Formats: sequence, structure tokens, C-alpha cells
Amino acid sequence: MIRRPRLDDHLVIGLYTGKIVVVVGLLMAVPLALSLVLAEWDTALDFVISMSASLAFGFGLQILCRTDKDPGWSHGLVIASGSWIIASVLGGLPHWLSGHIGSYVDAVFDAMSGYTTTGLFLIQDLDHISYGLNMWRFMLTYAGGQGIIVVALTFLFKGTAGAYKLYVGEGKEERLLPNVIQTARAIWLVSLAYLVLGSVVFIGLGLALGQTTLRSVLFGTWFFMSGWSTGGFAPISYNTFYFHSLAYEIAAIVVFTAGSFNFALHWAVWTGNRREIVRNVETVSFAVTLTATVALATFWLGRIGLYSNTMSLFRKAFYQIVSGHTTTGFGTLYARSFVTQWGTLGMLATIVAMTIGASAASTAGGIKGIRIGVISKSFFQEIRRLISPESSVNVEKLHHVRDIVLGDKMVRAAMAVTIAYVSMYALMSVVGAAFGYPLVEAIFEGVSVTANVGLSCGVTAPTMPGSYKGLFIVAMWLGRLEYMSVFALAGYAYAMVRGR
Amino acid sequence: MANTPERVPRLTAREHWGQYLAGIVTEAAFILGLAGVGLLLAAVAMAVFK
Repeated sequence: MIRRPRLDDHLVIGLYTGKIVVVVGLLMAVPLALSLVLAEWDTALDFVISMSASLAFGFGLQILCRTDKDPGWSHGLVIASGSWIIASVLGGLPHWLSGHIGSYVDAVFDAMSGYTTTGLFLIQDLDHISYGLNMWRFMLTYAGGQGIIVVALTFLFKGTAGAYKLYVGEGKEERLLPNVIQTARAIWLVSLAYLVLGSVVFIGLGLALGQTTLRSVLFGTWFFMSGWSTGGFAPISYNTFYFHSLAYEIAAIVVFTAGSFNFALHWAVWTGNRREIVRNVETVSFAVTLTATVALATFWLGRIGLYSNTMSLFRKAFYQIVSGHTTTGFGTLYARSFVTQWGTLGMLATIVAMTIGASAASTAGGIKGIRIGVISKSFFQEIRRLISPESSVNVEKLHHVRDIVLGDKMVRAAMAVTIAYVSMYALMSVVGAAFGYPLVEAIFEGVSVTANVGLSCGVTAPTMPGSYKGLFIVAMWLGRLEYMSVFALAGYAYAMVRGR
Repeated sequence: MANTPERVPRLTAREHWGQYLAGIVTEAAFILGLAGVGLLLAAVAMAVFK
């Protein structure tokens, strides 16, 4: 029998969702302030309206849903998944009010793409949008990279009761420190330290390349925010291709690859365990699969003679593949070049890299290195068991901050999420083909959106069918939250209707 | 002294900065190492298909 949720359940979900929506509203203060400083009055008004709507909604929910009850596990999952949807609907307001977007669905698409660090966009005339709106796009992706719940835990929540349940609901389970609020603050410490260093490097490179001071400061900060969060947004339509600079590309690779590492790995390395970087199952898995996919792309592109020298080949092949593997989506190619120049095998290498994705408990998407590590280890364990005497006991371990014995429960959990990702990749590919796109392009875009990558071969455009855009929004949301909390929300809705 | 709680430095305390910086350098070196492998693969590919 399914238990119908009671009033208490609705109240606790409403209360905590309201708190998180308030945080989303407060984030709008940053682009509002920038608009005021730069005298972008129309944009400032857009943010006043959007911020007022978000705060009114958030505080309204909190007033309506007063309760002393703490959230349980199922509440945490429903709050996390529901908050991301509401945050995207409200986060799309500034886009919609700007007049640079075709419809409200497009606005929600861009907001969801930002929060989930996907990086695909439908905003039009990107090169001429206001600095304030651009700042909002990068706030979305930077906050979404750490996690909206992490933002709320860091800056708003005082107590710890129920906090861990919300944190897990957002697809993170790692505790860097014993206390979950301290863990959220440690995540922000890592991100903000990189923000300072990375932005300085990008700003310096921008100045050296001839940008004005204002543009180099804003572009440098934005490229850092987008790279670190593996978002892939850029303030110009040419993305990182705009700079034609090896130094800028190398800096971007360091930033977005570091952003794709597990926060637990960062914390281990930052607190003295530096050998962890070469021992951790996720970095080992990443190094192996990155090398394999880069080799495939490089040898294919070398064979067809697309690039005239080693450095050109390296800059194009390595950059796109590592960008896809870390689920960033920065590119130094025109979108259609994947189809017209790289060809099927080049696209296949990129698709495989995007499918795998980067590390768990990071800003990245995809199946994740830890699951690839767990499944590979279990595969080899099974082979060893088959060739060993019946009486022998095979114990397989993997290293993630500490040695962990591989157990059935761990393998089952890894397999379940992997199957969910692969099913979603397949569904998105079939639907894309059904809409009339060539199969390889439908697969490329379907994997890119579900793994929250953001590389595009040209399918994503304001002219794509509305229902296809809607499916992209759902795929980004499912991919970022790793399915379970979204399934919990669906289960909650079902229980409301059919429960007793 | 027995009842004095052990002092836990704040996450942002200056005494941690050196270790944090060493962590960033370690991570950057690892990533640049991977890029080096990519450059090597490109050189081999160009040599093979020259």
C-alpha cells in the first residue's frame, strides 16, 4: 500500500523549498548591482521584477508552510528536485524580460541549462546582451555547479537537522568534514580559492590579448565561473574560440578539469594527501578513458589530414575531447564542424567521452568516473573468480580517499544509475531521430544534454520543436540530479493521487 | 590544561594557506601532465600519417 502524503509532509516540503527559492532570489542581487553600476537601467528593472517575484514566492511559501518538523529522507529528495524546477522557472524571468529570448520555454531552457551546468543556450543575439544579464547567466552556472542546496546550506541554514538529507537529494553524498554545513563551506572554500586565482589568470590573459580593462575583468571572471562549474557558457557566441590563444586554452583546460574533480579529492589533496591525485579511482579512470578517447580522435583526425601540424591537431582534438569528458562544453570549433569536418568517428570519440563524464560530487555530469571504476573492478573480479579455485575468496578494493572493499551493494548502485543514464541517452537519441535529425547528430546532442555537457553539433537552436526543447529541459534536470530525487518527486506526486 | 578544548583552526585560517596552494599546484601539474600525453599522441599521429 502506498501512503498518501499528509499535510505535515506538504508543509515541510513547502517550507524548505521556500527557503531555497529565497536563496535563488538573493543571487539576483549580484547582476542587479552590476546593472546599476554600469547604468543598464532596463536590465536593472528586469532584475528588480525577477528578484521581487522570487522573494515573494519563497517567503510566501515559508509563511504558508510553517512547521517545526524536520525533513526526512524522502522529503529531502522531493525538496531538492522540486527546488531545481522552481529555481529554473523563476531563474528564466530575467532572460524572458530581456527580449533576447523567443518564448518562456526558451528562457526556462537557458536557466535550467545554467543551473545544471549544461551550457546549451537558446538566447538570441548573445554578443549584444547586457552585462547584467550575462552576469546572471554565469551566476546560474556557478551556483548550480556547487549545487543550489549547497548554496542554501552554506549561507542560509543555521541548524544541521535535516540538512544532510537535502544535500544527498542533490546527488552528492560525500562528506568532506563530519558536519554537513562545514562540508558545504569547504566546497565553497575550494571554489572561491580557485575563483580568485583562476580569474586573475584569465583577466591577465585578456589584458595581454588586448581587451579593455572592463571586458577583461568581466570576461575573465565569467570564463572562470563557467569553466570551473563545467558549465560551458560564454559571453560571446564564438565561445573560447574567440581568443585564438593557446595560453587561454591551457588555462581553461586546467580550470575546467580541476572543476570536474570530486570535492573530496580536492579536500584530500589540499589537506596534505597529495598522492591521492594519482591513486584515486576517479582520476585513474579519467586518465585512462581520456587518453583512449583522445587517441581515437587524434589518430582519426590525423588520418584524414584535417590539421596541418602537431600543435593544431593537439589544440583541436585534446581541447574538444577533454571539454566533453569533463562535461564542460567549451569549444574551439564551430558547432557544425563536428559534422562537416570531424566526421562520424571524431564525433563518436566525443560522444564516448561525454557519456562517461567526470567525477561524482563535483560540478560535472555524465555516468561519472567512480561508477566506471566500480563496474570495471567488479568485471575483473568476476573474471578472476571464474579462473580461481572454487574455495578461493576474491576481495577487490578501490581507492577513493581511503581503500574501500568492493561490495555487491556498491556495484548494484553503480549499475542502477549507469543503466538510468544509458537509457536516457538512448531515449534522447531515438526522439531526436524521430524529429528528423540524422542519427549521429541526435546521439551527439542527446548525450550532450543528458550528461550536462553543452557541446553542440548544431541541433540545439531556437527553431527546434517546442516538445523537443521540453524534453531537453527534463533531460538536463534528470542528468544533474542523477535520477533518484526526480523519481522520488514523481513517486510523491503518484502517492498524492493513488495513495491511501 | 586538561579541560582546555583543542583549538580547531578555521577553514580559512592563514596557517592552512600554504597547504591549499600546494594542493592547487599538485592538481594543475596532474592536468598539465594529461595535456602532455595529448600532445604526445598528436605528435605520434602526425608522424604515422605524414
